[in-house]
Amino acid sequence: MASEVTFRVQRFDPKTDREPRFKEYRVRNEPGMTVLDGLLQIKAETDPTLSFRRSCRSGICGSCAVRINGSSRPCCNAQINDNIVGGRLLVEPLANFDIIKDLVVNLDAFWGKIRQVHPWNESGEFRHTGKALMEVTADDLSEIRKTEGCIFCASCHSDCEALRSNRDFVGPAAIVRAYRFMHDPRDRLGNKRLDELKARTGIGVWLCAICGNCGESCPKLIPTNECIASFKNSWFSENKAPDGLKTTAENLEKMGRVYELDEFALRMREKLGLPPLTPNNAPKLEPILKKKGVAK
Amino acid sequence: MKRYALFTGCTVPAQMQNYEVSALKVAGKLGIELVYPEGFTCCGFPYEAKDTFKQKTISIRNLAVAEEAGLEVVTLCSTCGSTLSKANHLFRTDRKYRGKLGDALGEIGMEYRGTTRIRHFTRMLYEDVGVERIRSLVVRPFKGVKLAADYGCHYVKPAAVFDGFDDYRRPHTLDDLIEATGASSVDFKDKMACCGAALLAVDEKTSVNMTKYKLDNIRASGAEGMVTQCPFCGIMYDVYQNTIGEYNLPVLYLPQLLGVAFGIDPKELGFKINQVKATNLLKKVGA
Repeated sequence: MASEVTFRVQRFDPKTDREPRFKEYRVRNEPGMTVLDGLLQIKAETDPTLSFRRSCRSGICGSCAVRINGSSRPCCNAQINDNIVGGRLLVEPLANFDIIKDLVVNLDAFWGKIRQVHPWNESGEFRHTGKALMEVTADDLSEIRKTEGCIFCASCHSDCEALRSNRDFVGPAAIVRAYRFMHDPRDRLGNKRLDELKARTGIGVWLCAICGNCGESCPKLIPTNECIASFKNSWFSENKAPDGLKTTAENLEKMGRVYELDEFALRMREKLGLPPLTPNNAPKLEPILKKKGVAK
Repeated sequence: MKRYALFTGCTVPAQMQNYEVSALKVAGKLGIELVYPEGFTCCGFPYEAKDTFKQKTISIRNLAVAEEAGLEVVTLCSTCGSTLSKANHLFRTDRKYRGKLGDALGEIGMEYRGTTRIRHFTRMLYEDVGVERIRSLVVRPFKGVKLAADYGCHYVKPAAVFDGFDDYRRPHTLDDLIEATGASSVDFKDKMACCGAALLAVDEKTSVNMTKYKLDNIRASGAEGMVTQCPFCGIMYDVYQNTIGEYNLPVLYLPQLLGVAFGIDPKELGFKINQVKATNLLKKVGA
């Protein structure tokens, strides 16, 4: 049954506005309508000056990502009925970008980060090995497929907590892209990609705050956090982690806990009547941690 | 009496004993026993950067300890809860991974069958005690007091490893428990913003900028205090607050708030450890 819903949409025209403002529109809502359908209705029937990007309308092209009630995703991939809060639906442009007009943002920063990671296979000259020219196993393929679905919608970039506070962070999309090529057996660069990336971005590649937003915003369910962690593991095994993270790991190895139960802490616990705890838990973890190498 | 294994993690017992002691007092008031099984270690989270497989093994080892004790795990830290749940989810859903983790555990003479349940302390209160019962025990209502809820990212994320007990985009369980004390839980911009704690060891400036972002948004909302349920959020928003700016925003752990509302003497709730003093806020309710 048709009903009405209010779209509260952020507007901004750099020619006339000093800062973004909100405009509300009534939208005829029928079951099955997506947020993009709602925006198209507004543009066709109410306000042709509203600007937004869109193309395929079926979650493939990655053009139409916006923030809906504060979370980013392609708006052709979000049902109106699933996103009404207090009778309204809030639509804003992607965050962590400069606005060109209304819901259209300047994606240069996003593509710049993708370019940083050398996003293509460096296959060099083909070498004849006597066997097949190139061999891609099922396991290789499943690694590649984990990340190959990225449609570059930039939702993860927009929801990234670390990027909001430091735009030097390489960002989840670029790391996912790098992961894809690092796991491609046809690529000849291998771990050299890591060195190259570190040289280009310095600390920028370590700035993930592990908030988990990128994984939730990805319309293609790419395990972004897993990719980022895997990168960190590779660097760590080459002793290239920031000192702070090395110390944290060492503490865990030395004490089985990250913060020492020092005399001050033990006295405080006693004073508050808290149960005694074993200060050193290292022997419990030693058999796990002493094993050499990074398991996959 | 209900019994749970209390997973204190690393930060709480060493630095945020106010969270631990208030949780024990509130649990006592509610007839809940929190026990400390011998054998828990760090949850494994800090090992994510170094070796994610060993990290998962550490988590699963802790879950095996709880399984052996026959107890459900309750965590005080949002991140401990998420780290343990992540490993548990992998163990239960990924056969290949389950085998590897089982082998790693077998090498140290332990076994895990995958039966341990993990919940955050707040979630346990919400589900097993309930908002109504908590409301009925309030003797010092925080009526008219505006408080800001801080969930901690990992209370609900990654959503796939939790069973949808709360909306990961707009969670409400903590807000509901705050409001059970009579307070109003205010809305503020980017309510689920991250405190930045994980970056403290990598780049302090970025980390503190993230903390500042949320403190600024909370100040704009007119909240008189912040209520958190994650010890590292507590460190960032309480311990670091004075180095970031003059906010004078007391940061309470949820069980500290509930304890005061239940009529427990604030001295017993570890308020001495809170860096930003909550004296004025507590005066408002006659504590």
